[in-house]
Amino acid sequence: MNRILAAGAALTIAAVGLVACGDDDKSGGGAGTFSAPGAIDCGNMFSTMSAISTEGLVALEDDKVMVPNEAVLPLLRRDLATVEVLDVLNGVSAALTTPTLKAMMVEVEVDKKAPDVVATAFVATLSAPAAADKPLEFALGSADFPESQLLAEIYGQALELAGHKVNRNLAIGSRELYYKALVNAEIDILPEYTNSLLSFALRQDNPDARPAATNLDQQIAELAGALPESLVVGKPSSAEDKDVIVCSKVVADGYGLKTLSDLAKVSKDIRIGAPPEFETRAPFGLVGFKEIYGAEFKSFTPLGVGDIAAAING
Amino acid sequence: MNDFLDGIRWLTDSAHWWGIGGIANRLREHVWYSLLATLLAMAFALPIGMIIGHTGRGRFVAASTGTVLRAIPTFGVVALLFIWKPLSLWPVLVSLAVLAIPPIMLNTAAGIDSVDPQARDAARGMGLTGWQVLTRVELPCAVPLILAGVRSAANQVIATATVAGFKGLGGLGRFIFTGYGTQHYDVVYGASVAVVIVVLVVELAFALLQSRLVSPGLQPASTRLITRGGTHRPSTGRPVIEQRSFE
Repeated sequence: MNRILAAGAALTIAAVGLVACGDDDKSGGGAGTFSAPGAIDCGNMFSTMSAISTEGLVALEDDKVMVPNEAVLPLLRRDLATVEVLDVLNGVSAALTTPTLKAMMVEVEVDKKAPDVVATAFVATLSAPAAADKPLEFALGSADFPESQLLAEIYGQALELAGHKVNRNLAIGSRELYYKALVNAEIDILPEYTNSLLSFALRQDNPDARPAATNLDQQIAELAGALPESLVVGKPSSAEDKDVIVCSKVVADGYGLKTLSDLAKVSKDIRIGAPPEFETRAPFGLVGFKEIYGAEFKSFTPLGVGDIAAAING
Repeated sequence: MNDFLDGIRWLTDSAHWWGIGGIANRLREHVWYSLLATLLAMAFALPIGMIIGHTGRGRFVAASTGTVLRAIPTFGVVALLFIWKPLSLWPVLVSLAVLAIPPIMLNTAAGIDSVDPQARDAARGMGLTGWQVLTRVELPCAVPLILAGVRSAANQVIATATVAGFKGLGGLGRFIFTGYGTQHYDVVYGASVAVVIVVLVVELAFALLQSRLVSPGLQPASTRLITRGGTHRPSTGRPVIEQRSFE
């Protein structure tokens, strides 16, 4: 039995030792002139995420326009898009800007306020919409991230103020899920982003289709043809939430990074993190980086967008 | 069903097996994480289980702690520890060890606890010290239950080690995360099937190990490998210890 005990002791030592060694697996970052703090150097986040500023990250400018406009706008069923309804929605879009959206996201993400509470405060600042002559009933949906729920509440509460009835069905999931629900009339309205919606709508007919539009007006025109007959969009707001590449301050300063073109010059030293679809998606992804910026990275780590900030700084 | 068949096809296509992102390498990583986590859990759970079983103290605390540990959602632990040490093995290993400690600890304690009191008394009567009683009588008799504990822990760990792939590490979970994100559901199915196969193989290995490691006296009669003195002893269904009566 002493043998088993000895084996047990050896095993304990081995386990702890192996675990300690295992930790050294990660490859170091940076080009040797400075040492990058995190497990990755740069990653994919959304431009309105408050973590970019609170975590001291640097967002790089997309100087060759890999990501076109991503303006917030409402997507709804055509049978409910009366003039009255569109007036209310367009009134909201007119008041919504990127700075106001970012400020509201700080309230949601940093101050931990509920999206509907933040939305109520915003809607209260709008001029009160005229009472609807013909009150309608809407099933309000949203994607499963906080900003989508916030925007859904904003459009939804504005409709309620005008006298419409709104039933909430928020945080449905990915676009694949909620788009189907919208087409099937299980939900009637939700907030969208111009480029993402257009890319997705085009792919419904042809998996390889890519948007031709390069600015907001062209996107709206192209959307009219790409969406099914039953769906229609309201006027876009000037608020945008784009995919951005952010880097740690150490890496950005060390390499002098301001734009994605700067990043492309040193991309062989850069470890990048992004959601798994980044590996195959175009144009915003590894493919687009190679085609548009001629950049190839040292390594790619699939990570959720919410994990990027921690991975860059950790 | 079609996705499932596509998954099998994906898994059996040799084009997907090799290279750094291939199935072979991810499989190696998966087994490696699982092994480390199980060893880490054993390093804590075995000694604690032995102390509880031998002294008979702290059983209630151990059982309650075990229940609490089992109730902790693994994904939550990984997410919390990720902020502490992102992209290192620690978040995954600690959360998997949390999962594996209760079955090993409780089975070890129960195994030692259930040793025939007569055998223990006899050992004491022969003048064995507490340490000798533990190592020469209690532990050998408890091996079947301890192994069962490690086996059930290992199964859970292997199935759950897929969380590593969701947090930027490798292992077969990486295919599930990437496959889901890029809507390649055949990859998700294929990788899941691979995890199940690994669990089954490990089950088999433990069954073999059990037949080798458990004292012949403790084996059920039908599987007994050696018969001492050439005679079959009737199986009593409980530990058989050489007993001499001093009474």
